[in-house]
Amino acid sequence: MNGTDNSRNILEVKDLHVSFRMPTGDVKAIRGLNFTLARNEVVALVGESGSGKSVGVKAVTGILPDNAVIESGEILYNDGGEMIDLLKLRPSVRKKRFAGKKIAMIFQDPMTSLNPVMTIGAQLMTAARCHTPMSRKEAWAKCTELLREVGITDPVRTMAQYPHQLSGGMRQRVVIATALSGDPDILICDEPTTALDVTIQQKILDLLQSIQRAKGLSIIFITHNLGVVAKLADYVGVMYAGKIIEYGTVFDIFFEPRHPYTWGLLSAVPEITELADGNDTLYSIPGTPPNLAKEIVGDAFAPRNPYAMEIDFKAEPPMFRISNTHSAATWLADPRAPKTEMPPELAERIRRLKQEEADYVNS
Amino acid sequence: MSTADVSKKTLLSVNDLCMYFDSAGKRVKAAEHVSFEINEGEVFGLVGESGSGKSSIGKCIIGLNRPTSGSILFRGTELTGIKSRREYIDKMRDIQMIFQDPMSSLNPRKQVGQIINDALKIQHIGSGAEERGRMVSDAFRRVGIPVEYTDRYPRSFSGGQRQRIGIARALAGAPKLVIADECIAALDASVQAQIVNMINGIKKETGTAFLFISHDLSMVRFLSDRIGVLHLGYMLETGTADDIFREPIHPYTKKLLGAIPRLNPVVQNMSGDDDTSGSILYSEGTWHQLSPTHGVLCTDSELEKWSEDDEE
Repeated sequence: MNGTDNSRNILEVKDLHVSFRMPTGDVKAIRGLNFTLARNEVVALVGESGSGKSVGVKAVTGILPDNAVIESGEILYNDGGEMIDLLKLRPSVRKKRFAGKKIAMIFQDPMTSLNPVMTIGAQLMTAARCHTPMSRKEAWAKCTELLREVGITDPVRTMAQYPHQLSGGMRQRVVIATALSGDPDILICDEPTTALDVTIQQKILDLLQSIQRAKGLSIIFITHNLGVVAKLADYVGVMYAGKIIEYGTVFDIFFEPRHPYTWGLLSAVPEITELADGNDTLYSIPGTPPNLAKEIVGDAFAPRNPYAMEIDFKAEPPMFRISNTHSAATWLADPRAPKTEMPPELAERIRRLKQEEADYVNS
Repeated sequence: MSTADVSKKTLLSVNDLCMYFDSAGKRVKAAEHVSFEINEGEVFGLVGESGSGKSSIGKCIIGLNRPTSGSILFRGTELTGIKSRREYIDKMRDIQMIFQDPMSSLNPRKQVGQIINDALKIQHIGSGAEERGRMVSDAFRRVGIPVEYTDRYPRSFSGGQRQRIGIARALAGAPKLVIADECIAALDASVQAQIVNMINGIKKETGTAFLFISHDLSMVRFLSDRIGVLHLGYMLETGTADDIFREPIHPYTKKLLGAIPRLNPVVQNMSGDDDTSGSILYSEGTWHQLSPTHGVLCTDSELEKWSEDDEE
């Protein structure tokens, strides 16, 4: 979707369908997920809980729960110029060569991703030696270096400590170091700062950004915090009911959003610089996300969409191409659709943010 | 929205509140000489990072924590030092609480109507089953849950709906003050917006005051008339939403504001290294009331220095 040069892409997810087998029937959690991740690039996936963002990346790392079934699709990984379909590999091969090593993942809660009864050093070294065989001495040197890279000032001391002796921010740094221990190409971050305070969040985001730039990593960043997206992402995929319904550069999504769901998401978050007086109602998207255990006819967002047209209830919109980088799955983007503008409040905010941008560039 | 009316009557006044926890020979100071007031019908936002003591203060007010020292006056009545259960129920009836996690704060084995009914019954609100039944339906209507759903169990509701039920329980007895401790933190952004709008509507309609405890500064700004910034148990700065967000004085407040990721992909704040807020000794500061609404905890020389920094 982003550019035509395929060799730049490190990961391509094509028409992925994932269902959960439940006693009451199948729940279609992912209904045709498509996205590409280029080298040295950050893609953010945003959406409400249940939109399938976590399931999507778990399919990529191969850590779906037992009752999940990949119905169809491809997950292509660029292994030195050759595109390998991870889904066609034997699980043991996939686990050994890719999961955790080439594709590493960071989770939301740093306390639960660390073993409470092992020292930081023991955990880090286990991870490092599991990825690449090396002596304990080499592993120790590598791990202290990793800890230094993630901004821990006294790595030797930290190596001997247990997780409970560290603060939340420090723990998340250790988790990032563990993820980096296999020299991954792709780092998947699943809400890595949601459990942290804003000041710590800022430090962790800055750290992730500097590591990404220094190592040329590709990052898939899952979050529901649009501020975090604006800060980190190059590309944004907005997810709804198991698929990406709008995809574009961070500027496309924040300044030229086209899908009514994206309008809703952006409007629902108050901007910190917004004038407190005047409008005292936050826009909220009416209704609730659809039940994915049921067959969805037409656009999954149609029942909640104030701009829905007749066709939205009958046929599912394809991804309409808006520009080279930007596409949206809404019938409003169809050339035959009546011209529809985004809500005036949102247009006004975007105008203000652009003004701020202009002031910022000039200053 | 944030035009704090100074002439408004004080509903709650917290004076010189200290809350210490002693554990394993160590003393944890959750609140250090905290004072603030909440006026009738206003939303007071309490912000701070985890461990700043904001929840402890909320719990002191509702009586779940016993303060080490200080006083809490609610409509002229002292709330600290309550001796009996009877006295507690009598005094606390007009203060209610909304909890963070809508999953764990509702009894899964009770019908939601019953949950609210029980809350009223325990507090001796309502004169009989009939009146309580009417109060329950009113509460459901107010939070936008169909009254027919009263005989359902919590499991049949989504997270946002459960939080509405939690709010309905707090509001059923028409309290004067509701303590909302991180009541939207566990919800999705669009559901957060629904709940925040609802709280705003309830405040306007019923004149209920809220103590809105949160770490989400943009939501606090959106909802609050006045805001207090807490750090390490100290109340560092209080003021109207505009005072705090447009003219913050304390370096910690500025640091907190600077840490919020902006919605603008071009203009982003970076965590600076010139952070001096760590070196300030809060215990040496005294309260400086800069305007009728805006106050800050600092020493005279600090205030002078910070004001100079601003003019640069």
